[in-house]
Amino acid sequence: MVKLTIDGKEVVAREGQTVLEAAQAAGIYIPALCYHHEVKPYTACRLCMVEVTKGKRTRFVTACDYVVADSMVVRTDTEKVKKCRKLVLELLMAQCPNLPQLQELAQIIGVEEVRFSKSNDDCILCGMCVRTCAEVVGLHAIGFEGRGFTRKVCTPFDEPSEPCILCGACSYICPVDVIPVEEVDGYRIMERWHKKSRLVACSKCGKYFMTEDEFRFLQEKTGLPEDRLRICMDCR
Amino acid sequence: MAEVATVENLEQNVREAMARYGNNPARMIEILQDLQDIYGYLSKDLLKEVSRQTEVPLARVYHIATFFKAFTLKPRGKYTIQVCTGTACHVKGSYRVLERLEDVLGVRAGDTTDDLMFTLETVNCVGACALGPVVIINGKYYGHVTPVQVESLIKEYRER
Amino acid sequence: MRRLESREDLERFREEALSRRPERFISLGMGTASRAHGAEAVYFVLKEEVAKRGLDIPIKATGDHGLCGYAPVMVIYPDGVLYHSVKAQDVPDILDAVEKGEIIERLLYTDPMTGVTYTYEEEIPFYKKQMRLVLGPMELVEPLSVEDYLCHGGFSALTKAFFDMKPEEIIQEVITSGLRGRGGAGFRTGWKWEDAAMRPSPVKYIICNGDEGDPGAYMDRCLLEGLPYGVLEGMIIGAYAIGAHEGFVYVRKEYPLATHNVQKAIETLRELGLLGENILGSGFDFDIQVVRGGGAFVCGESSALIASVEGRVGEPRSKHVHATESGLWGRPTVLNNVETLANVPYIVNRGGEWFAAIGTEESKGTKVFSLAGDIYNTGLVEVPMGITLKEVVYDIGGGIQNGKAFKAVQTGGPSGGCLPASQLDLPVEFDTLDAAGSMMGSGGMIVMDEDACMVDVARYFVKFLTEESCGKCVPCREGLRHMLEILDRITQGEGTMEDVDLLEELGYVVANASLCGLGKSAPNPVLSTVRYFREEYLEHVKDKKCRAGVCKALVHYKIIAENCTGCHICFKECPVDAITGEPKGVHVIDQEKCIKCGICKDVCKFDAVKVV
Ligand SMILES: Cc1cc2nc3c(=O)[nH]c(=O)nc-3n(C[C@H](O)[C@H](O)[C@H](O)COP(=O)(O)O)c2cc1C
Ligand code: SF4
Ligand code: SF4
Ligand code: FES
Ligand code: FES
Repeated sequence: MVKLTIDGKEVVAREGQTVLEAAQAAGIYIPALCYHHEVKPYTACRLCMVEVTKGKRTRFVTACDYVVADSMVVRTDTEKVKKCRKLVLELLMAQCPNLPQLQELAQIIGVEEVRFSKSNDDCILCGMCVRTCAEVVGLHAIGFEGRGFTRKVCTPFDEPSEPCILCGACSYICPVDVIPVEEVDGYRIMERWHKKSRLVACSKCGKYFMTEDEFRFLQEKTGLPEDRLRICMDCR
Repeated sequence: MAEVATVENLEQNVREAMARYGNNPARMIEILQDLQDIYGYLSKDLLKEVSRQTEVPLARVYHIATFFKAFTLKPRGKYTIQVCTGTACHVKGSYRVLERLEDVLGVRAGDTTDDLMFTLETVNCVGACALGPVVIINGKYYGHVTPVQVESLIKEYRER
Repeated sequence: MRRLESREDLERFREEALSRRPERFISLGMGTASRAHGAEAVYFVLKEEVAKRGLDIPIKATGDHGLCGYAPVMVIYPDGVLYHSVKAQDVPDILDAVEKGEIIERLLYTDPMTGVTYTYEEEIPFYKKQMRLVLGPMELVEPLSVEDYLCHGGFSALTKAFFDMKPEEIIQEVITSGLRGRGGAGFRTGWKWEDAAMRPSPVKYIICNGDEGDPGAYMDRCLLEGLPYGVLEGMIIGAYAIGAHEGFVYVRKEYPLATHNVQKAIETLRELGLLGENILGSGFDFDIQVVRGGGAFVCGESSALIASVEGRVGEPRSKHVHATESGLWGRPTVLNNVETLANVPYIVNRGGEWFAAIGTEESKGTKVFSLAGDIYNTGLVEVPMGITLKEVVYDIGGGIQNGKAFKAVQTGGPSGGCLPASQLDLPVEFDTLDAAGSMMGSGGMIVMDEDACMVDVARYFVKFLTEESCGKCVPCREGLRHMLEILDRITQGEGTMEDVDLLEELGYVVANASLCGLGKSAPNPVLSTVRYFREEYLEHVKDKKCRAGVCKALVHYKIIAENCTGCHICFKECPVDAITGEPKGVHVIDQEKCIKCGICKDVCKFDAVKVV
C-alpha cells in the first residue's frame, strides 16, 4: 500500500497504480482522453497533467502513466494545471469542432471559447483504436499515417484493411465515438475502415452475432470445432 | 538506377534487402531505404511485400513509410533539386529561390513534376553556408543562387 | 590487415606508423562542405599533377578544415602555409611554389576587416582565438587512415582505459572532468555513465547520436566524416566503462559521406581487433553497428531515436524512467552525442582535472559551433566554454559583412533563441544561454544583420518544427500549427495585439505540456524574439511594416526614377511582365501585377529598385 495526498486529500493506493487510477478511485476528477485500462498508457492528449511533488522536486507529469509513491503530493488544481488543460482542450476543439464529448468536457473544465481557426476533423488522434486493435485484438489492422498535424488514423493506403475482422473493438473504445459500425442486410459495415463482411447467424437462435471474418479468426486462434463456434454467447 | 518494379524482382529484392540486415525486422527503416534506392520510391506492392516477408503488420510498415522524410510513395523525377533551407541559407533568401522554383516547375517542395523530370526538395544545412543560397541538382552544387537564375537553370536541365 | 592482439602490438604499430610519417605533406579539406565548394576537382588534379611530376609529397584528403567559407582550403606542412579558395587551375602554381619553397601571395588569407594578409594557418585570427581540441587532428589525418590516427595519439586513451584503469575510475575521471552532453541538453556525461554502469543487467547498449537535426548545424557530420576513429574510440571507452557489448551509431540518411566513413572505420577496427571479441587481449568484447536514420528531427530525441533503432516509427515516449535504466529493448542504454564522445579520449588521456580547467564553473571544456550567417568567416569553430558571444562573432567570425549592423545571434537552432546586441557579452555556457532564453543546443550559431526580420526568423523555426513534430501529442501538434498560423498572420500584416499575447500563451502551454523535448523547446524561437524584439512584432502588427524588408506582404518593390538608367534589364527579367518602360526611359512597376519575387532588384545594376 502506498499513501499519498491528492489535492490535500489522503489517498491510499496500490503499489504500481498510476496517479490517475488512484485519483479515480478516490473520486477526484482528472480529465483523460487517451487512457483506458485495457491498453498501455500513451500520454498523447496531455489533458491529465498534474503537478507532483516528491521530496523537494515538483514535476509536471501525465497522471495516466505516472506511478504513485509513498508520501507523494499531487495537485490537480494549480494554475498551471488549469491553464494547460484548458488550452489543450481548446486546441482539440479547434481541430474537431463538432464533437459533443469535447463540448461536455469544455463545460467541466471551463473552456468558453475557441480562439483558433477551426479544422473539421472528427478524430482526436488519441490512438485508442489503433492500440486496441494491436494490443487487445492482436491484429494491427489500422494505424497512423504521416506526422505532425497531417497525421491521421486510417487503414494502410486508406484501402480496405485485409487483417480487419470487423470485431468493432476500436469502435467500442473510441472516446469520441467516431467509428460507426452498421449492420444492414446480413452484413456488418465499418465505413471508416472501408470494410464489409457477411454476418454469421447463431445455429440455435438464428440471430446474427459475428462476422465471417471474425469467425475465421476465432477458428484459427482457438482451434474450436466449427459447430461450437456457430453458437452465440447467449445460447452457449 | 530506377528499375521497373516487376513482381518477380520485387520478391527477390526484398529478400536480399532483408538478408543484408540479418533478416532483422528491426532494421525496417534501412531495408526500406535500400529498396527505395533500387526503385526510386516505395510502391504499394513493395510495401505489401515487405510486410509479408518481414511479418511486420502492413499498418506499421505504412506508418514508417509515411512518417520519415526519406521515403516517398510516389515515383521520383529524373533530377532531384534540393534547396538548402538551413538557417543561414534561409536568412540569405533561399525561400525566394524555392518560391521561384515552385513557380517555374509548378510543384510544391516535396513533389515531383508530372513529366517525372524534377523532384523538388528542401534540405538542411549542407555546410556551404558561405555559398548560400545553395541549390543542389543531382549532387551538383550551385552557390549564391538568385531567383533570376532559376528559369535558365531549369531550362538547361530540361534540354539535356 | 594485421590483427592486434595486445597493447604492445598496438604500440609497435604506432611506432611503425610514426617512422613512416612524412614531414612534408599537403592537407586538403575534403568534407562535404569543402566538396560543395569544389574540393574534389582540386584533389584529382593535385593527385595527377603530383604523380606526373614524380613528387614525393603525400596528399591527405582530410575532413573540413573549419574555414568553410573559404573552402577549398589547403595547408602545406610542415610550415603550415594556408591557401584558400583553391581552384584546380591553381594546382600547378602551388606545386611549383612548393618545389621552390616559395609562397603564392594571391591564395593567402587576407583579413577582410583589417586587410592584413597571413601566410601561416596558426596566425590567422579565425584560428587564433579558437581552442581546437576535438577538431585538433582534423587537418592532419586522413579520416580512414588508422596510421594517421595512431600518429596523433589515437587509441592511447583506449589502451589506458582498458589496461590501467577500472571502469569506475574511467567514470570518475569523466565526472571530475565536468563533461556535459553536447547534444543540447547538457546532461552530465559521467553521471549518465555511472547510472548505467550500476545497473545489474548483463545486456547494455551505448548509442552515438549522429542525427544532427538542427537545420543550421553540421559539426557532428564533420566529426563523423573527418575523425571517425576519434568518435569510435570515445564510444569504445564508454562501452567498457558501463559494461556494454553492443553499440550503435545513428547517422542521418542525408549524410552519406559520414555514414560511409563510419562504416568503413568500424570494419577496419574489426579487422584490427579493436572491435569484436577480446579487444587487444583485454577480455572485453564490443561491437558497433551503423544505423541510418530515416530523416526526422524528432529522432534526435532519445526515446524517439531508440524507437527508430528498434525499427519503429520515431515517436517519443514518456520518460519517467531514464534510458540508463530501461532504454533500447528495455535494457540500460547510454545515448551520447557525437561530440560528447569525441571528447572522451582526451579526458581519459589527460585526466578529468585537466579538462575541468578549461571553461567555466558549470560548463567545462570546449564546444564546436557551426558559425554562419552574415559574418566574414563562416565555418566550424571550437571555442573554450565561457568565451563571449562577441568574441565568437567579431574576433573569430570577423564581424558583420558589408558594413551592416549586427542584429541577432541565433544559437540552439529550432530549440534555441535569438539574442540581441545587448546580450553579446554573455559567456557561451549552458546555463547562461538558457537563462537568456536561448540554448547552447547542439552547436548551430547563426549571425544575422539588420536585413533579417526577427518575426520571419521565428516563423521559419516554427514552420520547421510544425513539419517535424511527430504529431503524437496535442500541444505540440496542434499548438505549433496555430503558432505558425498566427505568425503567418503577423508576417502578412494581418496580426493583432491579441495575436502576440496568444502566441505567448500558446508558447507557455506547448513548452510545459508537450510530451518530448521537441515540443518543450519549440516555443523558444518565438518567445525569445518576442522578448528581445517586441518592437518588431509591434511594427508588423500596428504599422504593417517589416523594417528588414523580408515579409513579402508588407513590402513593395519600387523603382527610384533618379537611379533608373532605362537599361531595360528588369523589364526583360520580370517573370510576370509587371514592369513597363522603354529602353533608356524610366521604368515603373505595376503593383497589381507584381508578385514580389525580387528579381528586378537582383538584376538592377544601378541600385534603382528599392524595397519599401
Ligand atoms: C527534438 C530533439 C532533437 C534532438 N536532436 C539531437 C541531435 O540531433 N543530436 C544529438 O546529439 N542530440 C539531440 N537531442 C538531444 C538528445 O535527446 C540527447 O539528449 C543527447 O543525444 C544525449 O547525448 P549527450 O548527453 O551526449 O548530449 C535532441 C533532443 C530533442 C528533444
Ligand atoms: S478514431 Fe477515435 S479512437 Fe481512433 S484515434 Fe481517432 S479519436 Fe482516437
Ligand atoms: S512534443 Fe511534439 S514531437 Fe514530442 S511527442 Fe509531442 S507531438 Fe511528438
Ligand atoms: S490521458 Fe494521460 S495523456 Fe491522455
Ligand atoms: S544553411 Fe545552407 S549551406 Fe548552411
